[in-house]
Amino acid sequence: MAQFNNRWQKEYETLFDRVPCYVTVIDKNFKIVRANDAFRDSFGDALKHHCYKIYKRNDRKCYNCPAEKTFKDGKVHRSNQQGIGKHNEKIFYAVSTSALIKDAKNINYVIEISSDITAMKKLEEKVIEAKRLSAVGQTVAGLAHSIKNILMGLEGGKYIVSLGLKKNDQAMINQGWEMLERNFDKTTSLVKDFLSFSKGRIPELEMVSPGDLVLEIVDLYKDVAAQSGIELAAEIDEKIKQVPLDKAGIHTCLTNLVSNAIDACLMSVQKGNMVTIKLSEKKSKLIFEVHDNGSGIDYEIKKKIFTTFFTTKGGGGTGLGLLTTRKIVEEHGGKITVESKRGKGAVFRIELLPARLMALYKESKK
Amino acid sequence: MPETSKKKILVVDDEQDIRNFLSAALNEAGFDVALASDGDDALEKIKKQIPDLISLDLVMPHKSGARLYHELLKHKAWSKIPVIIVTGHARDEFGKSDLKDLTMSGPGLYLEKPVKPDNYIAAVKNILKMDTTEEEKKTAEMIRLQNELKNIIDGADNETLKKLKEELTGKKNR
Repeated sequence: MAQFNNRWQKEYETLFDRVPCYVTVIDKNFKIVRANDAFRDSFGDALKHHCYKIYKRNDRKCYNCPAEKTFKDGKVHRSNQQGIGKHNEKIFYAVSTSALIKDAKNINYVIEISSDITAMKKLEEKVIEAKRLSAVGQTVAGLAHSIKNILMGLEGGKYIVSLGLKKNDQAMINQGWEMLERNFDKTTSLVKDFLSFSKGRIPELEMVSPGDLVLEIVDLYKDVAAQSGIELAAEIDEKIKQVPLDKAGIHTCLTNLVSNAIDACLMSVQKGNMVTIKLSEKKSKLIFEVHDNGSGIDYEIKKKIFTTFFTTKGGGGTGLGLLTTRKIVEEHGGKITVESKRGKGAVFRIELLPARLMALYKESKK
Repeated sequence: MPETSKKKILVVDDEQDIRNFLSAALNEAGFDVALASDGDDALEKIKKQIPDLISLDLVMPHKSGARLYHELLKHKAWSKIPVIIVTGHARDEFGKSDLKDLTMSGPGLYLEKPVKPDNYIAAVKNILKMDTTEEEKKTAEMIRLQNELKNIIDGADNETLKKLKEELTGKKNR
């Protein structure tokens, strides 16, 4: 019998050591009491040391420690972590923790099983980098196109002024001069929009009332809209309280969407145009919507509307408004969508997650 | 110029400054000019009077230049109208595929914005097979060759590109 037990013990030990994962057992003080071969190979000798010291060379427990949760509730917990190997290399691992004794009220030991996901993580980083580079490429192509258009306007202005001078035609000189002025102005607004597009990556969150923000935008555009016979209205769910937002950022998003909506109404053939900003909350999402009954958007334009740097406003826009809007929304961890058909108006929808923003906000206050 | 005054050019561009510019240059060279701000507008104008040539922008609201062009091809009388594409999107992702479609099937050529008035007029006259000065002939020939070369480059594989580069620069690729 003793011999039989001995054989089983050996088999389990081999299994423990040879399994292709990092396996450690820790006690209540987060000290490692057992570690397998794979773990020792990557992290070095670990017995009797604190797990956080060995995995990460930290002096205190890790943020979001799954083992701590298992000690508390006895359940299995998982998380992705980043550690430092014995040769000072970064190791990414997905860890699961489980109580060593099932159904016990007092858990004395927790087993941690981790798989190395470093290769996957590196691949992921490469994909993100490739995406970033392709976005940069597209942006540069878009910028080149905008500059080409402005140059064409300047070329035209120059030509018409010189033609006017040759013919002694004052009306022509004036026309050419206006073209020159307009295209110089375009350069200024292009540079301004481009700077705001390239600005910052982390939203500066502060507690803001989204309803007040919407009313501010209505105030800002009411007169402009009225002058063109467009009614601008707001529908606000009064129950919505303060939410952490980058106020200037969301302000930019809404002004972009509202000024686009007004332009769409101006391009529309029908009368009785209306732009409505709606603010609502659904399934713990904060939703801003800008509705218009203007000219609508063609399918081929819609496909590219948030990703390509271009304009359909015949020189009236820089082509950066919706790109900047999408960027700000995504920096908030939200998403932007559009529903539209040609001639049938459009709805642009921004969805944000207040719970997530609140977590970010608290983190930033630490 | 009595001969050119008969020729009618339809300029299609969504940007007013560009319409003004091209029409001033065409007027100066003695052409009749009609203007349209997008593909739909252009179709209306064509229905009223068939122009001798269309100067066409690619990326426009409502109906893009590419879509207008494909509609022209479906119509027997319209499919023969020569077209000059004047675009800023010639070699970016937005215009490239459109452009490939266009230059493969129909008459005409493309000019990349910003265009110089002299080059533009030379290209228009060349397509319409009109009398041109020596200078204009040279310019038109240059534009035609540039267009052909750009098309070859856009469709070439790496081997061809390397050979082309060697030929042009006289340097072997390392």
